[in-house]
Amino acid sequence: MSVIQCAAKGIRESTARPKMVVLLWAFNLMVAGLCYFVFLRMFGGAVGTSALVKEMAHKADMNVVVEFLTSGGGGVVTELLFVVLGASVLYTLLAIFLHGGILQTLIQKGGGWRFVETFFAGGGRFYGRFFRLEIYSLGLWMAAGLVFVLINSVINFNYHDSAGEQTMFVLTIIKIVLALFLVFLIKMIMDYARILIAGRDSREVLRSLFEAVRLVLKKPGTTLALYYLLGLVGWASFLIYRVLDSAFPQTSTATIAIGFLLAQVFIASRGWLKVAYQAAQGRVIGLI
Amino acid sequence: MRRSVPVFAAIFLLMTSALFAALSRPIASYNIKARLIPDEKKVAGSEVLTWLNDSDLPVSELRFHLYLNAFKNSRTTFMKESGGSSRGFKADKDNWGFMTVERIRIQDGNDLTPSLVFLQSDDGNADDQTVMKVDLPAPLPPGEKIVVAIEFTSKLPKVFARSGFSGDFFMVGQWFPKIGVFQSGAWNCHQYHASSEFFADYGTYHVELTAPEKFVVGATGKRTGETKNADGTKTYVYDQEDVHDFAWTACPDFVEFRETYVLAESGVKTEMILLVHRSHVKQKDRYSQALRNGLEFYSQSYGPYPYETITLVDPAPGAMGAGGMEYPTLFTAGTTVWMPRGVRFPEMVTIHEFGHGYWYGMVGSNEFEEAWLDEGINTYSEIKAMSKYYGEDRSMIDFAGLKIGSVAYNRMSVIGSGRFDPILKNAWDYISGGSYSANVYAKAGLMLLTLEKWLGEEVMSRLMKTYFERWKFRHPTSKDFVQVAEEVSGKDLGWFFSQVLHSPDRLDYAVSGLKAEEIAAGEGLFGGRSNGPLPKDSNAEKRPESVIKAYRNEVTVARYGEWIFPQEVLIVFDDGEKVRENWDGRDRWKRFVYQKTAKVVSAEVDPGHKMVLDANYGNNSRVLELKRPAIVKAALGFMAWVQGFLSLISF
Repeated sequence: MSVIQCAAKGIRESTARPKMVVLLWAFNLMVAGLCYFVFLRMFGGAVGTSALVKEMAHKADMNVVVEFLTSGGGGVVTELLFVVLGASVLYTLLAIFLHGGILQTLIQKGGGWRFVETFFAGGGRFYGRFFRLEIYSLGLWMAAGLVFVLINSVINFNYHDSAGEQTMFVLTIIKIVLALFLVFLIKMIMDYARILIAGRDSREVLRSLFEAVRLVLKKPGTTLALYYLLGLVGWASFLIYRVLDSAFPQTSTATIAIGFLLAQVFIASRGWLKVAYQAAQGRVIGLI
Repeated sequence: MRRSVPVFAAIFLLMTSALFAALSRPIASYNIKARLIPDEKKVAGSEVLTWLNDSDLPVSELRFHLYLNAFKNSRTTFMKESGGSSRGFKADKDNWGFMTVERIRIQDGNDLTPSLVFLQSDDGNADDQTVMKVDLPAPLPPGEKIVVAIEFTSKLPKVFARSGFSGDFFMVGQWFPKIGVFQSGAWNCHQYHASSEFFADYGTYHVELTAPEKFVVGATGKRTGETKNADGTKTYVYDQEDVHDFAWTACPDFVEFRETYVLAESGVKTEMILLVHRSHVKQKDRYSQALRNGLEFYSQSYGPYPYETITLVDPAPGAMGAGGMEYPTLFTAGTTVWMPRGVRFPEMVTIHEFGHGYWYGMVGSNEFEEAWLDEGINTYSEIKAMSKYYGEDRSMIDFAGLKIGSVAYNRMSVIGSGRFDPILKNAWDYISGGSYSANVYAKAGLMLLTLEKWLGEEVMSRLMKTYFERWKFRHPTSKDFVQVAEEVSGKDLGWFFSQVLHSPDRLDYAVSGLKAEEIAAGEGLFGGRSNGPLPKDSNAEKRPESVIKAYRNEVTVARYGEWIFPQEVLIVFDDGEKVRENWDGRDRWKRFVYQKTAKVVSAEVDPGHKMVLDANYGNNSRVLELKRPAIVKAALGFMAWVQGFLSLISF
């Protein structure tokens, strides 16, 4: 099956499961919602009663943001970072569960009234294995880090001439691209490892991880092309969201609500894309 | 007619002599010959110093700054205080910098070298050799001059703090033995500290620089000669009067641009020399325009730029440690290959460093002891210039929807810093480099902006012009600035400067409470005799329901900071009425009460936004009803960002 066929299949599978997309969106909203209330309390407490914010509904005033961030002697920034960090940890743990749910649903073709049961059963069933996978993946992250450091050192050694700022600029871009490539590569390997575990109901997590690495090394063209093809779909949805979001002034309660809904549609599209990824990747190895 | 010829000649002579008369009293004049040895990163030099004892006392010793010795080892005062780094750039332990004085003698007279000793009067650090002293064979009487010849070699460090080399880029500053300032009967000649700059007397410089032919050379002053030498080098001659330092630069990769700047109304005509590294040539126009803006703003605001040249040096990539530094008629700016137009770092640095030609260059305050007089006044000037040319709300950053103005940028610096130090103290006595810059640059700049809003723009303009005019080519102190401020404004400003200059506290006034309560019909017992039951409020039942409601409006203002400033309070009612109150701001709080048929809508202290130094604008005003949509919109925006971030890291 070609890359495009796999991608199309993944998109079809994902589109056919609106309930799953809604569930993924709801979990995201639930965790981020905690941040909403914390921010609302902090922002309201710092500048909410101030006349400063009266223009905020019309335009983003950086001066108000500055006043907010510097209020309380800068403690606001620390608190916000702490909140975002906490939400990230919570969501990462939750995502392990969600991955299990997605794969169980795709593999068992669960639908209709049994969808929620299938999803949650999958989340619970694979949680331990996927959690271990995350732990084992630290090895991959360390290896990727090592590769990055080595390439970085070689670049720095060969191009430390101070007059070559143009070259250094290009090399910095290359380093960033390399770092992103390594990050996405590991995320892709992890996707395949999860599919292998769930598709075979295997408890051999480490072996599945190695097998996923082997698969990616064996079929780099197919796996990478599929990953980046679907990535383009994600970027396209982001651009559409940004264009639509900036197309109208969000100054009234109604338009603010429309802006919020647009953002939620975009976040839902991220969940939709994740399902599409897993379905398409499962197709590549014939397990979904 | 014949008689008129000598009269005209006399008038012409008087005019030209006035035109070309020195603007400063020359105290320390130098005749220097220097040769750049690029392979060894050295400058071999000799100088002839003519120094005038301008004091009322005989002088029996001479003190010199040997600034480059700050980079001699890891235990110098500069290195210990800075930890071997400056503005994020680290010292290279394989490339120390130092200055060796091979010989010092009175011209045609005694050799003073045997009496040479190093002094460490600031901190007693025996490893610091940034100040040297030599004894004179006989005291130099007041009003007399002495001519001293010095042979020296300067080894440049890998640049990380102002001076040094990077590849074949050389920024040669603080590079020759430089006499201190004999002031109030003593030498003012401090060691080189991490958070300090310089102080010197005015004079005339004649400098002959020799460098390999391939180098493009720029320097303080006007190039008055250029000779090719047989050994493949070139000698450039520079002359400049009325300056207190001399710096130069050399790099084969400079592209030199020369443009003439004319500001007819102020009589300014100067040659802009832009030495732009070839990798940054695309940004030459940004530098050029910013420099033109600087020339125009400072000439119009303070006084005409008097020198014939101004040289902008764009440090080579990898030499940003040399960037953002001022020298007389020459300064270093800084940029990178990729610098979006909306990120106005090159413009800000260009205007700021050019501005030091006024506040440091022409008004020669002591940067060691009262750094705010150059950095603070210059930050104030820079804020005004940047706001004028690039927009008040976006003068620093206008990129990808993000807009930050100079005032907000400096406020962030002040608010983010701890309250450990006042603005006025020795540069090396601050708790940290961050505290030094927050106070000396940002807080002092905002102090003057607050003063401007307090006195009015016109008064402040006269104040600054008077200060510049009175103290140019001299050494003013903080007291002199305050004295000019009081004289021009006609006000006692002691209360202002004593708080802001000398105390590390903060200014923070707020509307701490706002409420409007309906005045209800009385309940309970009213009036009556002392014994026996009291009658009910007999009027209560007689009042018709339709009478107009009345409110008891309370506005409480508070002083959260230590600094005391008189405050104006603006109170707005729902019938459109605006009430302005004045509060001396002395007590910790004050309550204003109004019984009206209208409800209070909002209250604001400092409605004219004069208190730029106020630590928290957010609490300066209060509205009775929350602007819910605005707050919810901000919170939803934050949540959407978090949602995107979460899905990115986990999926």
